[in-house]
Amino acid sequence: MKPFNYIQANSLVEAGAILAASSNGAIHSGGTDLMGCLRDRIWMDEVDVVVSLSGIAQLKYIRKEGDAIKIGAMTTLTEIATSSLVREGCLMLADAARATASPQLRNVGTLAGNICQENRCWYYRYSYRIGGIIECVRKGGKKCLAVGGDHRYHSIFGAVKKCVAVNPSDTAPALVAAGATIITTNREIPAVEFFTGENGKCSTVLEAGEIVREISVPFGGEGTKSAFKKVALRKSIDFAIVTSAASVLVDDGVVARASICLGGVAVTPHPSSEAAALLIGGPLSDERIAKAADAALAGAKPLKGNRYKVKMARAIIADTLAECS
Amino acid sequence: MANNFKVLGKSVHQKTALERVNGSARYYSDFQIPGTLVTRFIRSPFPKAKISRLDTTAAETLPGVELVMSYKNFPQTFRDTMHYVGEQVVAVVAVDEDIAEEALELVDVEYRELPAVLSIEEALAPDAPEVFEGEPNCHDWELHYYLSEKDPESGLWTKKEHANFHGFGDVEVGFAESDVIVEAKGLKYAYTKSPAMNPRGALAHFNSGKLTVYTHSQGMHHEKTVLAGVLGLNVTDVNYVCEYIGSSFGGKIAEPSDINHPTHYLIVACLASLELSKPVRCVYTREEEMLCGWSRGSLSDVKIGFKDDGTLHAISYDNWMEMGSGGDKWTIKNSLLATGTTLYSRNCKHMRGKLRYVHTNRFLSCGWQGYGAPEGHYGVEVAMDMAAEKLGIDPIELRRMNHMRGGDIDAGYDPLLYKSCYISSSGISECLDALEKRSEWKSRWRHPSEKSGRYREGLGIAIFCMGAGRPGPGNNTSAEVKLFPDGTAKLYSALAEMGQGQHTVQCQIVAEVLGIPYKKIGLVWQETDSTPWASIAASSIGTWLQSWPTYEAAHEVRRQLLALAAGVLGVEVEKLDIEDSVIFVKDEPSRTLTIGEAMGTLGIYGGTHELIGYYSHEVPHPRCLRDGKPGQLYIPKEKGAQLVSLVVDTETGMCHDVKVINAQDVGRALNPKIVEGQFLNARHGVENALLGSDCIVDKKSGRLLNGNWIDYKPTSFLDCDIDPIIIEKPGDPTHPFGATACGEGAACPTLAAFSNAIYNAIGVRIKETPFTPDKILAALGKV
Amino acid sequence: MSASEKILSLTVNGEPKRLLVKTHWMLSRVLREEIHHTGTKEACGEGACGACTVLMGEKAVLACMTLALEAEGKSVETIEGLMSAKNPHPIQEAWMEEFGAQCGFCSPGMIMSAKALLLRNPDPTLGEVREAMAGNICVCSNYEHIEAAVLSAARKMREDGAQNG
Repeated sequence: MKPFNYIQANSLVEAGAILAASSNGAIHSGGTDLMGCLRDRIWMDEVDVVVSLSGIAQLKYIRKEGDAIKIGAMTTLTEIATSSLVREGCLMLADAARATASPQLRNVGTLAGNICQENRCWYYRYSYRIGGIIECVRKGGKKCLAVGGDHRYHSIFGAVKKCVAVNPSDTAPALVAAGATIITTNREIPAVEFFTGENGKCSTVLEAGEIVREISVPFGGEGTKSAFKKVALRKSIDFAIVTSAASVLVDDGVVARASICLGGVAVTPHPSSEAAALLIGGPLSDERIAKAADAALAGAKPLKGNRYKVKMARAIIADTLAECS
Repeated sequence: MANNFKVLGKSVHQKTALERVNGSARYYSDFQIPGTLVTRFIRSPFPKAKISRLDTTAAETLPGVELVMSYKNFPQTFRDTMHYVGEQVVAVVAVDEDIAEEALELVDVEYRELPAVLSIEEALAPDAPEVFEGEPNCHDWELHYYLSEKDPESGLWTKKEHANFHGFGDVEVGFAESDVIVEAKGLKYAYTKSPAMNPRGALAHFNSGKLTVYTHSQGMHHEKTVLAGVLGLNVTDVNYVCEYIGSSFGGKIAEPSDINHPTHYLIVACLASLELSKPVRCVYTREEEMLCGWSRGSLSDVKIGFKDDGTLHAISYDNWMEMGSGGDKWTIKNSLLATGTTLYSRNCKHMRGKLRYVHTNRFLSCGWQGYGAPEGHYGVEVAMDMAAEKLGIDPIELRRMNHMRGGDIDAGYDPLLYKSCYISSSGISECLDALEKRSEWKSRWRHPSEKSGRYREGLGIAIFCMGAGRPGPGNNTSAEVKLFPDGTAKLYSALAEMGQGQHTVQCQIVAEVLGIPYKKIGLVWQETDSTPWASIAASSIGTWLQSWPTYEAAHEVRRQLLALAAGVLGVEVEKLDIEDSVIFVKDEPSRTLTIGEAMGTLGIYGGTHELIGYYSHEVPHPRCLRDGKPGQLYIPKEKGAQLVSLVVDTETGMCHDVKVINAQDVGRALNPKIVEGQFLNARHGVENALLGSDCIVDKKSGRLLNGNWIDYKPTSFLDCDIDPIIIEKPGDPTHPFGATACGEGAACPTLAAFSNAIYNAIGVRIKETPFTPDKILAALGKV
Repeated sequence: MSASEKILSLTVNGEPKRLLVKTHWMLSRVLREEIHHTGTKEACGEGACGACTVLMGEKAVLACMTLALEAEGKSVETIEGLMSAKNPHPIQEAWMEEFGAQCGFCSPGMIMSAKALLLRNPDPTLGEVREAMAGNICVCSNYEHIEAAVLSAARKMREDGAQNG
C-alpha cells in the first residue's frame, strides 16, 4: 500500500474541506472496501489523503422520525441487521445488511460505505502484484475486457460507458426498493438516482467533496411486507451473483403498492416498476408473481457467458415476492 | 498388550494444543530477527515472453535497497524466458516493504510476447506453441509397465516390462468378453488449488558460516539436504526450523534443485541471505500463494466392461494431467489407484491405463491431497455410477460386488520397486453398510426419472482408496526415544505435524509401549539439528511409516529398562511389565520398582541418566511381509466410501442442504477425535464441487482472475455438514497396532459423489467440475 | 515525523501503548511487528478469512483491514490477552478438549470471534454459533469440532459465571 496522509475529521464540514483541498482524497467510513482498493492499487490516481469519519460519533444512529427510519452514515451493518426498528419497518434492509460480507466486516462496514463501494469486476480489481494492473475500460483501456472475456458474474442489463461490472452492494437494492433517500452534505438524492455506474471512484452521483450524511428509509406501515434474497456460491464472505429485494403492501387481499429491485445484475441496482405495476390491483398469487418476475427480466440482454443469471434472477425475484405474501 | 490399551484409542489432548490456542505457536512468519530484510517481486505480465530489456540500475541505487535479483546475477532461480503470468522476473531485497515496492517501479523491463497455450485442449491442438522450446507439450508417462505371468502360489505378478500403457491382460479381449460396456469421455477436473492457511514463505539467516532457515515443510530433512547441495553448503551448516506449518495438504513440499518447482520463496530468501549475510524474509501474499501454491487438474476418459451380473471385467483409463509450466509429473501415477490395478483389482482381469502429462503456460501443478488420486476417482466412480444404471444394479451394490478386499493384488503400486503386492486391508464393505444405514439409502434413493418439481433431492455414492506411502529405499524414517529417571520420556521425531495429529499419535505410541502416562511424554520436532531423519510426511504415511520407528525405539528403551529392573529385582525380564510408570513382577504384583529405582539414580557418579532407543525404518518392516517372505509385501491403503446428499433448486441451479457422510476403515483409531478431524477434510471436495473452485484464467491475457480468497472460495461454516463415521476393522498387518492411514483420502471420492448426487437429482450428467449453477441450469436445458 | 507518520496511542491487552506508526500500516502489522504479538495471523490480506480477528472494545474486527490509526484511543484484545498467567481461558480449554485446532493457524482468530459472540450471547444456539463464526475460515475445515468447542466454552463460562456470581 502506498503511503498517504491520514486525518480523522471532527465533522463532515471539516471532512469535506479536507477532501476539497486534496488532489485525490478518499473517505474512510468503515474502510473495509477502501483498504482493498488501496492495497491492490486499483485506482490510477494515487490517494494522497484518507479522511476518516470514525471520530464523528454523531453520525452513528438509527431512529424513527415521523414515517421514516433515519440511519446515520456511520451506522454499521451489524447495527442495522440487528436493529428492531429496521427489522420492523424495513425487513429487507436488515436482511440485506445481515447477508453482507462477514460478521467482522459488518461490525465496521457502514451502510453509507456499502452503497459507495467499488465494483468487484475481476479485471478491474486485478492486483498489480501479479504482472501489473489490467488496463480495462475504466483504466484507460479501449474495451471492457469482461465483454470479450470471462463475464459469468457481470451485467445482464448492458453496459454503462462500455463497462459491464455490476454494482456489488447487497443493501443497495433494498434501499432502492424501499424508496429510501440518500442525504449528503449537499442535497437529498432518491436512492434510485444515487447509482450511476460511471462516475468516479465509486460509481455514484456524489461530487468531489460530497459525503453521505444520512440514509432515510420509509417505515413500512401495517400491511407492508418486505423480503430480501441473495444467491452467492459461498454462504458467507461472498458477493452476490444475484440479489433481490421486494416490498409489497397488501390491503384487503389486493396489492396496493409494490416495489422490486434486483442487485448484482446490472451496473446499478435494477428496479422494475413494470413488474411492480403488474402486481397492483390483484392478489399476490403465484400466477401474478410469475408474470411480474418475467416482466422484471424482460429487458435483459445477457452476454454469452451469463445467460444463467437471467434464469436465476427470475427465480429469486419470484421467491422474494412470495415471501412478501 | 493386545486390546488393553491405556492411551491408544483414546482422544487424549493434542501435544502442543495449548500453544495452538494461546497464540504462542510459532509459524515461520512469526520468527522475528532484528534487521530482517524483506523481498518483493516483479512478476511476468505475459503467459509466455522473453525479456528483451532489463535495467535494474535505478532500483539498485535507491537507498534502502540491498539486492536486486534477476536472471543476470542469479540464473539458478531467475530466467529470461517467462512461462506463465506471474513467473518471477526480478526480486528486490530491501530494508522495508515501502522501499522494496518503490524499487520495483524503478526497474526498467520490456518483454517480447510469445504465443502461449492456456489449457489442456490448447496444448494438445496440432501446431500448438511449445511451452518449453524443443519439447512437446504432451508427454507419455515414462513408467508405464505391463505386468504378466502371475505366480500361481502367491498370486503376484512376476514379470514387468516397459510398455506404452500400464496394466495387464488385454482390454480388447476383455471388452469383447463383456456383456455391458460403459464409457465416460471428456470428464474434466478443474484446475484447483491446494489450500493453505499460512501462505508459503521463508526467513533465511546466514550468520557466521551457518544458515538457519525458518519455513514450513512436510519433510525438512529432505529439503535441508537438497538445499545445502544447491547452495554449496555442508549439510551440517544448514539448520531447518519448522515449528508449525499452517496447513499444507501436500502443497508445502519444496524441491530447491528444480527451477520449475514452486520453491522460489525458499531459494530467493537463502541466496539473498548468503549474498548479504543478513536475515532475509521472503513471504508470499495471498495472491502470490494462489499463483505459486500447487494446482491440479486433468481430463479423463474411462471405459469399463462388465458381465451381466455386474462383475467388473475390464477397464480402460486415459488421463491427461495438466502440469502447467513445470511442477511434478509423478502426481499422475496416483490416478491409477481408482482403476483395476487397485480399487477394483478384485474382479478386473484386463487393465489398460494410459497416463499423459501436459504442459501449459499456466502456473505449476503438483500433487496435493490425494496426489492425482482424486482425478482418477472422479473418472472411474462417475463411470461406475453410469454402469449401475445401465446394469440395473443399485450403485452401492455394484461397488460392494467389485471393490478391493484385504489380500487382493495391488498392481498399480509403485512399479519402480515392486511388480505387485498385497492390499493389506479394505473395510470398504463395512463403510458402504454404514453409509447405507446412516443415509437411509434404501428408503430414500430413487431413480432420477421419478423426480420432478423445482427442488429435487439427490444421493450420490463413491468409494475410494488412496496410497499410503512408498515402501522403499530412500523413504526411510527414524525416531529416537529417551527415558529419564523421573519417569518422563521424550520422543525425537522430525515427522511433520501439519494439523493431522501425528505428533499426538506418536507420543501416544511411546506412552503405550513404555507404560507411562501420555502427559509424561515430551516431544522434540522443531528443527533438523536436534532430530533424526524423518521421511516426507506425504501420502498420509505418518500412521504407517512413522509408527514403526517410534514403536521400535520405545520398545528398545523398554527392553533396556526392564533389563535394569530385572537386575535390581533379581527376576527374569520376561516376568516384568510396566503400568502407570510402575514396574512390577507379573506373578507377584506387589513387587514393584519405580523407573528411577530401576535406573539407579545415584547422582553424577552413578546410575543411568537416560535410556536411549533409536530405530531407523528401512522399510518394509518385517511384519509387512506375508509369512516373512521377501517380495511378498502388504501395502496399506487409506480407504472408504463417501455419500453426498443435496437438493438441487432447478430454477436457480443452486444446491442446498448439502451433506457429506464420510466413512473410512482406519483399522484402529489411535485417537478418534483426530481421525474425525481428518474426515472433515471432505469439505475440500465440497468447495471443489460447488463453490466454484477453478483457476479461472482470462483466455486472452493468461491472467488468473480469481487469485484471491474472495473470488476463490474456501468453505465457510455455513456451506455444508460433514458427518464422519469411523470404522475399525481389526487385523491390518502393516501397523504395530493395526491402524491404517487416514488423511487425504476424504478428498478423493467427493467430486464423483457430487456428480453422482446431482445426476441422481436431475438426471443429467455434468462432465466438468465445478458444478456451479450456470452448468446445472445449462444441463437442465434452461439456459 | 512526516505526514505519513503519526503517534498512535492505544491499549493492547490492558497495557497502554504509544508508538510511532506509518499512516498506511494496518493494525495487524503494528500488533505483530511493532508490539511483537504474533498470535494474530495474516492469511488473506483482504478480509476474507478472519485469521487476523481481534477484539476492539467488545467487537470482533479484522486487524488486517483496519488502519492502525483507526485504533487510536481504543482498547484492543488479542489472543495473547486471553490467557491469564497460567490458566487457559475457558474458550481455550474447550478448544483443546474438542480438538478445535488442527494446524492451528486459524485458531487465534476463531477464538477471538468466539469470545465476541459469547460476550453478547452467553447461550448461543448452533445456528447462532455458525452465523457468528462465518467470517472465519479454517482450511483444515474443522468446523464441526470448532462448533462443539464454542458451545462447550459457552457452557463453561455460564457455569463459571454462576459460581462466581
